Amino acid sequence: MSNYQKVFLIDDDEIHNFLCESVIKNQQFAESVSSFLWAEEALDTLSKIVAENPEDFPEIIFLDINMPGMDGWEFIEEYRKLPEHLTQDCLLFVLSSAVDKNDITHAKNLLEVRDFFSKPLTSDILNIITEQHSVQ
Amino acid sequence: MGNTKQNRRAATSHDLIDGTVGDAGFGGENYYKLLFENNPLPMWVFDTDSLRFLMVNNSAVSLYGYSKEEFLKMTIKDIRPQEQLTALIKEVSSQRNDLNHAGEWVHLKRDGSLLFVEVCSHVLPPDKGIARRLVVANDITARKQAELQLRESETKAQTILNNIVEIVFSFNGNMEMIYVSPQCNSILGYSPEDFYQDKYLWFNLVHPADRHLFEAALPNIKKSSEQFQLEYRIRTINGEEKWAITHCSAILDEKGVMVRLNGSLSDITARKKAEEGLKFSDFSIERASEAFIWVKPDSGILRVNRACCKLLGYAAEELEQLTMFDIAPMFEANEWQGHWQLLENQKSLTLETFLISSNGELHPVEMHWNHFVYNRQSYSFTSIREIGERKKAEQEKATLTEETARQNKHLQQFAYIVSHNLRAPVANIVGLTSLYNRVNPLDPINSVLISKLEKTSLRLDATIKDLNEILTIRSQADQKMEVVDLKESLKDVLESLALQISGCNALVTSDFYEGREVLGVKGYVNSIFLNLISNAIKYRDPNRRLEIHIKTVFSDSYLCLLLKDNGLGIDLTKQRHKVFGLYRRFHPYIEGKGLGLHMVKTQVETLGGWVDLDSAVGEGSTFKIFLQAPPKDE
Repeated sequence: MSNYQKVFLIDDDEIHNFLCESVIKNQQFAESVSSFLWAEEALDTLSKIVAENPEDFPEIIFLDINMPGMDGWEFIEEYRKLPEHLTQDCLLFVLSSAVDKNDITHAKNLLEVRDFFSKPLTSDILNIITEQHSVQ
Repeated sequence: MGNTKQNRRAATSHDLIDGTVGDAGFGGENYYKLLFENNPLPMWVFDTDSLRFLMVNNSAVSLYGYSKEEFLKMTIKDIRPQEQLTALIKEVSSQRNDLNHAGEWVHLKRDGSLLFVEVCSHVLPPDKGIARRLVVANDITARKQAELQLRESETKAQTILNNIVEIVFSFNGNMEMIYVSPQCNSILGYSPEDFYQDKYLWFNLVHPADRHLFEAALPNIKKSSEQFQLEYRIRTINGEEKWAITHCSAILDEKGVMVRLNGSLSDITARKKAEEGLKFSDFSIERASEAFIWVKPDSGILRVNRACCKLLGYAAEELEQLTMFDIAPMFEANEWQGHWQLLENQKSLTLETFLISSNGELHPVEMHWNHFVYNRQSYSFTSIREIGERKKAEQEKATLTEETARQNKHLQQFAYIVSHNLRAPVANIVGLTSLYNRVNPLDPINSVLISKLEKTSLRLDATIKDLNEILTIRSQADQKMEVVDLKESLKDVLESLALQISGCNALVTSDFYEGREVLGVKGYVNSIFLNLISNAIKYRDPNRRLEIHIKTVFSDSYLCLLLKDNGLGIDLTKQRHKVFGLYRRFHPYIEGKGLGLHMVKTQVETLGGWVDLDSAVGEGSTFKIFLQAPPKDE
């Protein structure tokens, strides 16, 4: 049995998405993983889920910050507007290659963000999530 | 023996009276009587005991104003003023020679006026037991009065000489000092005798540097009776240097030869020193490089120095007609009183303001106001220092700081981008490597990982090349600017993009009617065209034929290159601040590194221009590239 049903990856880096999918699959972390190269696309999908099948709302979202078009911050702005009863059960993690302190601090200060992780996504990170964040 | 004339005459009168001299040759006693009676000298005979007059002659009658009868009733005491009586009694009671020169006496005339006489008497043989003396009185009143007057005027002159501060002197025709007043002691430290003994002393006291004045003037002084004036330095007996002024004039004889040179010397050291001090400070102030201005309480300008004239472009006379309101726009008439009051209270004030010069130019200055009172009048001595240079330096510093801050921001952005864009592929490499199945190298995942690793490595390589290119442009900010022909440049770029353009059947038009030349670097201009046109192709609207319209418009000293497309457009309400950022992409589904527009911006700014953008989603974009136009026809 996987820990989670549904994970969303939002990152313009295809290779990293592949990497994440592989790690998640290897760890049997989630049943399904959906990758989005554009935050706009991910937002559209989430809106559609909210409207049509709210039970399909992902339990975990890995979000990159530096993306063309809508970036991670802008995505969070929009994400905030989604129904709270759905978002409050979803764990949003920022997963970025950034090593900029300001970015990290900013991400950790946002209510919507559970934690900030530096790329690449590893099994260690997934274990931390399993141990610390799924308790609730 | 001392047989003087006087003796003989006295002997004659002696003979006359006692009749011992015979009348042979003289006409007898009557003749002597006649001689007595008509003698031009006043004469009388008196009784030496009773002092009564016994005989008087006509001369005495007319001199003293008494008649003969009156005389004969009087004693010789009656012709003396009261104060002389003691001396007279003493004289007549003394043992006298036969011939007695009694000397000068004061007698009293009948009318009460005084008479100065020189009296001489001779004893006569007693007549009937009466002892007698013959007296001759010589009227010396006129001489006496003259003497008195002389003495008075001499005293007066001496008093004047003693009381004046100048030295008065007199030289003879040989330039020997014949008189010098005692002031030479106090002024020069030498006594008059020193000068009488050393003929050259007077001239030797003149400062060697000023002797030429004398050498030049003396020949003229000697020839004329005009008054001459000389100012020169002298050395006193103790070596002290003093300033002297001499006024002198010569007395010439009938042949025009100088017989006397009279003059005076005054000590003008104090005046000279004050003058010199004044001149010295005046000179310093006039030639100071700092501007000075003297201001009156009514804001009127009293005086200015040269530097002030130069600063403000006025003649001193012009400035002295103006008020502070005319040259310092910061002073309002209603605020002046307050300013002056503050100055009076604080004694000095420093303020920064602008002064306006005659040509209307504004000069930033620092003014130091110093209040002082002179002859119960209030003034300000104000120094003016131009601080334009300082202000300019401050401005330059501010610009530099701003530039540094800008560069710093660039660097920060760059560091951020670099950290992200370099770290992302590195993170991928780390991640991919960890997934490699070492236990079973034949695991099909391994070949997938290898191909992903290769792709990531290539991306990393490309990123490093891009960053290097941007750094190169930035570091070449001082590249030599040349005139670049936009039309030529566009032609080159269109040729290199010919395949892509024909591939999407795009329409490209250009209009360089308003200008085709800019100041720039050809490589950059080509790159700008290349990036903008390939962007337009990349982000074209798939639902319509791509059109790119290029034209130029003049805008002041810049030529604006307009590049308008009918592509997808960018939502500027959200993205404006990010459009030209590094590694920004705006269109999902379309491959792009997000480098093009950042390169365009960097290159345009390096060429001293700027970029603007109008865009609307679904309508297209218009890039406005402002580049410096070359100077016209030089």
